[in-house]
Amino acid sequence: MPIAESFPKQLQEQAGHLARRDRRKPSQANLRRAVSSAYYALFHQLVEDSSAELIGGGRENVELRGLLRRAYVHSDMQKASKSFASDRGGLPLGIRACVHGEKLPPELTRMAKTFVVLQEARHEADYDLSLRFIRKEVVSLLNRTDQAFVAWSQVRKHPAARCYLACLLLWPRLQGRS
Amino acid sequence: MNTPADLTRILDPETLELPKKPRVVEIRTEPYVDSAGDDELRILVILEEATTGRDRTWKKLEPIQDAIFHALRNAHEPRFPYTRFLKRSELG
Repeated sequence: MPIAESFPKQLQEQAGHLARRDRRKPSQANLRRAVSSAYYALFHQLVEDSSAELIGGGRENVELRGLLRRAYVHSDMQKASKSFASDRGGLPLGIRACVHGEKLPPELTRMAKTFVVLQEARHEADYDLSLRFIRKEVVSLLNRTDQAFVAWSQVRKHPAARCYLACLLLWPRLQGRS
Repeated sequence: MNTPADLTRILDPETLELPKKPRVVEIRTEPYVDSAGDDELRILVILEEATTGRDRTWKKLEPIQDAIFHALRNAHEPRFPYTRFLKRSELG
C-alpha cells in the first residue's frame, strides 16, 4: 500500500499509543504529540481523498497527487470545514447550489467539526504551554477522531462530501462565487 | 452575534435538551480568537464530578456538543463553538 494511503492509519495508531503509553502520570509531551498525530491523521486522509477526487486516484497520477498535496493550506481547510460544520445553511450560495437536499449528511458535518476542533487542539498542543492536557480529555478527542474516520468512510462518495473535498483545496477561490 | 447574557440563556443546561449522563452541571462561554485569527466561542462544559471515564467517550459527549451546536444555530450565532468537557476538579 502506498505510504499516502497507510499514513493516516499509522498516525491514528501512534496517537492512541502515545496517549496511553505512560501508566501513571502521563507526560505532557506524549499527550500533546498524541493530539498532533490525531490531527495529522485526519489532515492526511482528507488531503489524499481530496487530491484523488480532483485529479484521479490512479497510479498514473501518483506524482501529480504528490505535488498537489503540497498545495493544501491548513487555514483554508479549517475555514471550509467551519462552513460545512454549520450544515447546508452555513455554506456560501454558490457552494450550496452544488449540494442537494435540505441538510448535509450528518457524517460529513461530524467530520468537518472534528477537523476544526482537532486543528485548534493541535495548535494548542504544539504552541500553548500554559495549557495542561488531561489524559481523559485527550483520549476522548482520539475517540472522536476514530468516529470521524468511521463517519467519513460512510459518506466519502456522497456528492456533498465530494464538494467538501474540492473546497478543502479551493476554498479561497470558491467561497465568494455565487 | 449574541451578547454574553444571551449566550448564558441560550446554553442554560436546565433548558437545553441534554442527556442524563454524563450530567452537565454548568456551561461557560467566552469570546475566543482561534489560531486562524477568527472570532469564535470557547465553550466549557462542566461535567458532574462523579462522571466516569466510560461516560466520557465521544459517543456519550457528542449529544451534548450537538445540543450546543443546535441551540447556537437556532439563535443565529455565527461563531464556531470550540467545546471542552471537564470536571471542576480538572480546571487549571
